[in-house]
Amino acid sequence: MAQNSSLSGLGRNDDGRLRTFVILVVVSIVLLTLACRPETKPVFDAAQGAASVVTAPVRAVGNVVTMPFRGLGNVIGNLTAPEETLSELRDQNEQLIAENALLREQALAAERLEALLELQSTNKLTSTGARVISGAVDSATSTITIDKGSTSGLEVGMPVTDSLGLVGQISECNPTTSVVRLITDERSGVAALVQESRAQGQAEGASDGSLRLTLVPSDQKVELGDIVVTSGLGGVFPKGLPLGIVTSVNRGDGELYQTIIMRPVALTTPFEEVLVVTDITDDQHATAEEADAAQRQDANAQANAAQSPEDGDDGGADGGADGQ
Amino acid sequence: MMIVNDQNQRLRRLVILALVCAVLQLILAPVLVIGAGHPNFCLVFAIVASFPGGGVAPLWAAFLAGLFFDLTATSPVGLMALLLVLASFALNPQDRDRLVEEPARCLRDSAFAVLAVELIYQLMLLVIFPGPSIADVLFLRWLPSSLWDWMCLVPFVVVLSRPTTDVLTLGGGKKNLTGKRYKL
Repeated sequence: MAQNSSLSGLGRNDDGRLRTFVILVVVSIVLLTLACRPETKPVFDAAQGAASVVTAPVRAVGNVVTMPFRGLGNVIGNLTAPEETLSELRDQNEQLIAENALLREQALAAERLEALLELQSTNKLTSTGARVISGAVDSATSTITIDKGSTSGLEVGMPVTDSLGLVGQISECNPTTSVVRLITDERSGVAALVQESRAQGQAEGASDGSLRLTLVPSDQKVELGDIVVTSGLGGVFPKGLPLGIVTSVNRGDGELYQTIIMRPVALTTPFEEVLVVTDITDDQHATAEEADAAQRQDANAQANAAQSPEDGDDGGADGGADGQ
Repeated sequence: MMIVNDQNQRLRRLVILALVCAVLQLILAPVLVIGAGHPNFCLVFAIVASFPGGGVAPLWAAFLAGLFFDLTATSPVGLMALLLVLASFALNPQDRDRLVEEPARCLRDSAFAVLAVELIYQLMLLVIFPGPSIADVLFLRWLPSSLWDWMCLVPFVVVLSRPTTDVLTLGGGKKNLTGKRYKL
């Protein structure tokens, strides 16, 4: 008679289970401690990089498989659409069917040209194309994973754009994949300026997917709808790349800086291809005049703060600087 | 009465469930977003694996699932592994087959476990990587992530708690009249 209780699972008693529990807890704490120590962190970063490379094929397949489901959010809106809207959509559908045939031909041509895109520069950028193979798998960060890494010449810190504007910056570079920290991540910071008024500041990410333009003094003119672009200060991002559109400006009484909220220009729709900027030419850095303007802006803000010290002690920064 | 050893079968099912959750974590989790919250299928797996009991296997499953999450995410290695081992043990300290005996309580307890694990995880990340406000962490990450986790977990618990199901019955086959999970 083969008598072996299934309830005992692997045949361990309660003491064995408790012992295993304690061992696993201790091992986890040791791993966590080592992963947080600067001396041993590179080892764990390498392990995470290796895991990223190993799982890249699965993510890439998943990215293709889940593509049709990314528009599920629209389904709810369609269910509640009025008849007038539906009728209009039917008419549009007929037009789109006709256009679709033409576009299909153009898409085939685009696929052939895509190979050449790697050698091209967009907006005078020296860049290489890459495909997005995955979004963030955890809720702690806003990142994407692309299908190129150090073997393609990519490095940590390189800016990443799509056809609309700046997307983010490479934060991890593995041999065949790279992790891009999006500009909407809270730890992102990009030197920026308002295109109309040339007011300089720093664009920072927020949890709700918007951007905050910080360090813009209250005396600078910023209007709703203004376009904010990279300033090129700091030398990390090329200047002139669209970042966001101002959706809210709040000038508090006595506040040294304005509270400005932006809607990102890029990242608003699912994107599949990105460009990694591999080199920045001299004319894509901020000019000496622009750097001087940033310093004057900060100096004026500091002077205003000194004149009215009771207004607040927000401190200052050098007109915002690119950061990782 | 002849009691059949279903230990290998249980382990095989555990491995299959682990593979399913791993694939879902890599493929589906990045796509499902509410606020800034994503589902954590490794947490779902660890909880589901803990309910049927089975000695040390659920603890190892939780640890390995946590390590897998840590390696594929950007969080510090060991954090999710620690939380999942704690949750696995807390959900079934007496090593009973809770999935068959008390499925309703499993659902309730899993909700508490999800909320607790996600809260501690988010707060730990806030300590390690300061930046977001506590309100953002709570309302844009913790609550949406917990909601996702529980929504993804319920189908697993419901399906696996059915005593006659043939699919991935971690609870271990059919019950006899005495309620034991032995095949006669």
